[in-house]
Amino acid sequence: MASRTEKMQDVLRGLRSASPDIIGAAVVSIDGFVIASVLPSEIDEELVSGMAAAMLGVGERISTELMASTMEQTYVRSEKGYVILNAVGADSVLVVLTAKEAKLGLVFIEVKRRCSELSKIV
Amino acid sequence: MATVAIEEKGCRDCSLCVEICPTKVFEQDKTRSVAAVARSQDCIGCTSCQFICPSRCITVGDVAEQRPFFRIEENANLVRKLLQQAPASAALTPDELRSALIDVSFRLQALSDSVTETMGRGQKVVGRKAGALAAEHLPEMYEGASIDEVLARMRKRFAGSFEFEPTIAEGGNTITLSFPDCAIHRVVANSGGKVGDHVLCQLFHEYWAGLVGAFLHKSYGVEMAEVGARCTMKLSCRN
Repeated sequence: MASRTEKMQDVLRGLRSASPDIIGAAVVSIDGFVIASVLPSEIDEELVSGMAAAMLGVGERISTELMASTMEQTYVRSEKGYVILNAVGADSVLVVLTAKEAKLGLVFIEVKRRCSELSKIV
Repeated sequence: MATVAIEEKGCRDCSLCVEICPTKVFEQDKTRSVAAVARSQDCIGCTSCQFICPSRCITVGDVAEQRPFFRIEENANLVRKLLQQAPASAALTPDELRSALIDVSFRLQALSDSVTETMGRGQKVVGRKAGALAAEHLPEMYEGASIDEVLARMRKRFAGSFEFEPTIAEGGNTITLSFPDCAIHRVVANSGGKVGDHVLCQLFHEYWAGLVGAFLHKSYGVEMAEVGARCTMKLSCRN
């Protein structure tokens, strides 16, 4: 029987294969530890997980303070692409890296679908 | 004018001094596998080489030093006087100690409040990253051949500010650090916070996880085994 990490890894692989513009993805705990990932080898997993956890914290604070609601998604646009963070359950976050050309609408739909799958596993 | 000298006997040809020197004072002597002072007249006395040398075999002289806070043993002793009961009782009056503790508690409370306000639940990562970054300033810790040696070096280095007793299990995958008289405990208790749960405690725990993890090339998560005047944290390897 596949472990939880393996199941998550499968979901992340499915997400990555949904669009060639999705460079990589990872599920990270609020403590900043990688739970599962399909990130390219040149990307420092620890750095991504640490920053994602910090960003999740800041995102939650912004949502709570400014919108009086829980955070669902945060995304960063850079010259080379996007970093999308989506809450998975109460204590983890899905990080998705995409190329600049990515069709964000499609990516968001895919992210939402995969988050729903991941929250059942996490 | 600043002077710089290398005790060649201790040099292991790591080339860190050659790389860090802003004025290219050093050169590698490849035949003898040591670093050599090639242009002493260019030395500006920044002491980067002296600090980075893992063998402690570089001496910079004739220079007025303003060393970073964390490197000054005298300041470590001052921290001990302010935050630890035994030496403080000898050096400060009870009123002075109380006043210093209130001042430190007030400032640390303000710091922790601002971290909580901005980072929310992401604060733990900040603490761990701070530990990992601090580790870069303690190159001698990386010289330890074993986990026991690294932890022994850490105990020696932090003596005077943080006394702790380490226990190693599962080949270093689990490390228990017990702080018999944690200074943060007193600060948190003084500010009315809950010891162990307070953000200062969490930042401190994660800081140690980051510090130890960096030295041992592991990633540790933190659990508290004991909270109070004696705090015991259990670091469990996550990779």
